[in-house]
Amino acid sequence: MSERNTEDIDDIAARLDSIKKTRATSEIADKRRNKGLGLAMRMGMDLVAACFVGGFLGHLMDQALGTRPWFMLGMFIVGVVAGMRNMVRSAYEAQEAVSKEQASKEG
Amino acid sequence: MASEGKVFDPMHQFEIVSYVDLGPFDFTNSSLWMFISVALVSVIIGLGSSGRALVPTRWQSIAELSYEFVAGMIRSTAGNEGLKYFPIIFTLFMFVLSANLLGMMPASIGSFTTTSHVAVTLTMALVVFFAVTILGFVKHGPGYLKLFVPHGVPMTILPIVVVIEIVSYLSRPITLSVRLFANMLAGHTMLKVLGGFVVLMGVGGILPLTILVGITALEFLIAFLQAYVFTILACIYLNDALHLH
Repeated sequence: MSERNTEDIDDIAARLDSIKKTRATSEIADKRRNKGLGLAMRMGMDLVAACFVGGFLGHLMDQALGTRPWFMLGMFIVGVVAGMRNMVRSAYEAQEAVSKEQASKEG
Repeated sequence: MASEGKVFDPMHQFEIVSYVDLGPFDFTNSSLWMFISVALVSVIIGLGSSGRALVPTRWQSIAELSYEFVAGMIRSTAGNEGLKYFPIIFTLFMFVLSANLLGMMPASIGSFTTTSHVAVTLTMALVVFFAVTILGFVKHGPGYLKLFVPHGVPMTILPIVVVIEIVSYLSRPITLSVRLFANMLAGHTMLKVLGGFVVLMGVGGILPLTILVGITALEFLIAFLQAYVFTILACIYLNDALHLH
């Protein structure tokens, strides 16, 4: 009786494991699809907003120091760089997540 | 002009109408729909968490699903320490989601999309921005400023990099708010314009009508996705404040 029970439990554990595995992979795929769309929504806005924020900050500095338009131009370029950097960083992060996932799948 | 505007004015739906004048404040259609979305979320979560059955009812399923969705989102981006801040993240998510979805109801019954106004989204984004900044300084003291100094940057270009990092940090509330409001505004305007085509084209209006059906489905996806993006970015900022890299 007790033997049967442990066998049953082993069987159930094995079945549960296999179910968990398939669920985990499908969950990861689900998550990644979600993330891809979210990332696409994020990237463009990151680029544009940083340009505007840079230009606006430069404009404020110009108003305070009376150096129109030099700070605005300079800070706008800084803003463009910041936007690019934002985009590249989120792309790197997404790439890292994907390669980590692949490594865990292979290993 | 007013009657003409009523016939075909895609921006008419975003007009703020004051219902009650309360001195310096007005109770507008925007505030009404904010209250409605808060009430809706409270009712759904309240109903859902009152049963506590092992086999969930429909209401409980909704509450559990949204709880687990947000909790998983926080855990995967900000780690287990981030779960301490679950209440505010969950509130943000549910409010934005319900406001977006309530806005998808036809405007003819008076529905109004609160999240299509930058005043609303910028307020939420600024709350997130200041909360995260204050939290970072509380957790790390002045050491939080190290966020602006990335590792392994040569001394010669360090000043420029710090300025770039500061601009990128300050652009956070702008990206957060503009993305949400612009998506809602653009989507609803597009729906209205296409709806106008249906009326103007008569029998040929079947073509824009079919497109309209697809776009409506897309708008539902965007309503959800924007709530998701807003929340996940709040989680990412929270992570930056909790764990300095």
